[in-house]
Amino acid sequence: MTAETTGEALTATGYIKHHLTNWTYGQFPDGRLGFAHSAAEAKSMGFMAIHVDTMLWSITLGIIFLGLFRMAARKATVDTPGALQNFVEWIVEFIDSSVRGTFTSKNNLVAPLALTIFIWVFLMNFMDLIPVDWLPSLAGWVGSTVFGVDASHVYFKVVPSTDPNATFGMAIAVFFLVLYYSVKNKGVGGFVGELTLQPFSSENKMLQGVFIPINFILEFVSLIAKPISLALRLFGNMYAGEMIFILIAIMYSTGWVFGIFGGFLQLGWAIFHILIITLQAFIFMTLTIVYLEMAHQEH
Amino acid sequence: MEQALMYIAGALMLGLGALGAAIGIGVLGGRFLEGAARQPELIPMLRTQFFIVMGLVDAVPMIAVGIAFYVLFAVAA
Amino acid sequence: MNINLTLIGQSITFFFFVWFCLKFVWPPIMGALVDRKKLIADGLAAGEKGKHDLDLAEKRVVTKLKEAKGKAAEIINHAEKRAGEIVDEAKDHAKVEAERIVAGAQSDIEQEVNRAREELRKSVADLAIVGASKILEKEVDAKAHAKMVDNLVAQL
Repeated sequence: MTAETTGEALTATGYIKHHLTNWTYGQFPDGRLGFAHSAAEAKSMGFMAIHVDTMLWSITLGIIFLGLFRMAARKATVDTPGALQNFVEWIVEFIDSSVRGTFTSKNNLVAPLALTIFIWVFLMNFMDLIPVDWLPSLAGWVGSTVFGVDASHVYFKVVPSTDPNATFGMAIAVFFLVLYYSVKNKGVGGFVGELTLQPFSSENKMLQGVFIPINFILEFVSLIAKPISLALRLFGNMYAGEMIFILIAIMYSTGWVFGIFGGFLQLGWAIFHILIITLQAFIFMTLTIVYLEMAHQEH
Repeated sequence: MEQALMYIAGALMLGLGALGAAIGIGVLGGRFLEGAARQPELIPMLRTQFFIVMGLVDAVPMIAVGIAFYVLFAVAA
Repeated sequence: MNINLTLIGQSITFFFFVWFCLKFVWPPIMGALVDRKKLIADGLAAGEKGKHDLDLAEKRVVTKLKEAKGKAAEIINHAEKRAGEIVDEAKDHAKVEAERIVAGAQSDIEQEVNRAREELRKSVADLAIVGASKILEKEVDAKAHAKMVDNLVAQL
């Protein structure tokens, strides 16, 4: 990475920062639109910017997932399932049994939602297992040879779930579903009552009046904590995993001994990470189901 | 001075995160084995729940590790 | 690490994917699964039913066989009895006939004997008379000694 010109020197710090910066398109403070050439520029764009790499990869992976499943679904036969259909059915049955185990109300949305979350998040996490330099280097090479941009200005972060926007985007979507179904199933009064009338309640009207704000603060915090913890857990795990992969990748540039040692480290961490990415996708899905189940339950 | 504080911050994050997770997963694993020994027919169900809770417990120190490394290698260095 | 429009973009993408999954992916796969479950259940039920039917048919066959055997035995018994009866009847008949024939023959014989005896007696009487008359022709009158000759004849 020839980063001398931008001030991001070829140091470990610069390398890490380069890897952790998204490919951003947005509005500069002076009003013109364009790609950010550095992390500082990306920051200066504020809210009116979009992470092209995150969107690109998440949509690509989503299309791969849905295309594969749609193909299996269209050719789904009752008598002789092919290999793809068997695989898809295995996943669908697994999701279906998980949903049935947790979710007791009647709602046709929950199972497809759980399937989408599980596979999509898994695929996004899976990008973490691709060696950290491959795709960014390729993007840098394409950027410098095809578009004539300095390779050090090409930022390419391949794991969408290490972008808080992606995880918070999903968590907020789930949160809106939880709010929608809470209000739909319990009514506005029931939902507000759930927020204000517990855990403390009293027969005495005066005391109850005192309890309402306390209850509201407690319940509101726990309500808001749901999407935040959901998003932060996934983001944090993937971010930490990515960070460790990057640190291991730095070892390759420090000589033979460390390079070989780093190779083993990367292999070990990748194998351990297979467990983490699956587990985190599963937990995201399970917690979504649990939250939706809570939204359907009357007290 | 500031850099030294960064290192201390990273060390605290790594150490305290590991401490909490170690206690949590220790208790969790112990209870899992107890439950499995008491009712071996429930092992598949227990294992699923075990992994879910382990994922929940494991998340926080893992995040701490990531942020600690970020602080140590990207900010402080 | 910046929070920006990507957040909203991701939410929209997510909703779109969920909608697509709900509309086009989940129902056909789940349908195929449910249909297959039903098919297998139906097949098993049909197999069970077939087995049950087979059992019933076997049972029916056994009872029918038993019945037929019983009937056959009965028929044979009846026939044997009837044959015995016929034989007995025939025997009786034959005996009666034989007795009748024997009796007829005996009576014939008796008659014949009687007739022969009568004839013999007559001829003996005649002979005696002839002999006697020949003897007595010289000495005795036939009329005087007729009573004595008749007695003699009756004694024969």
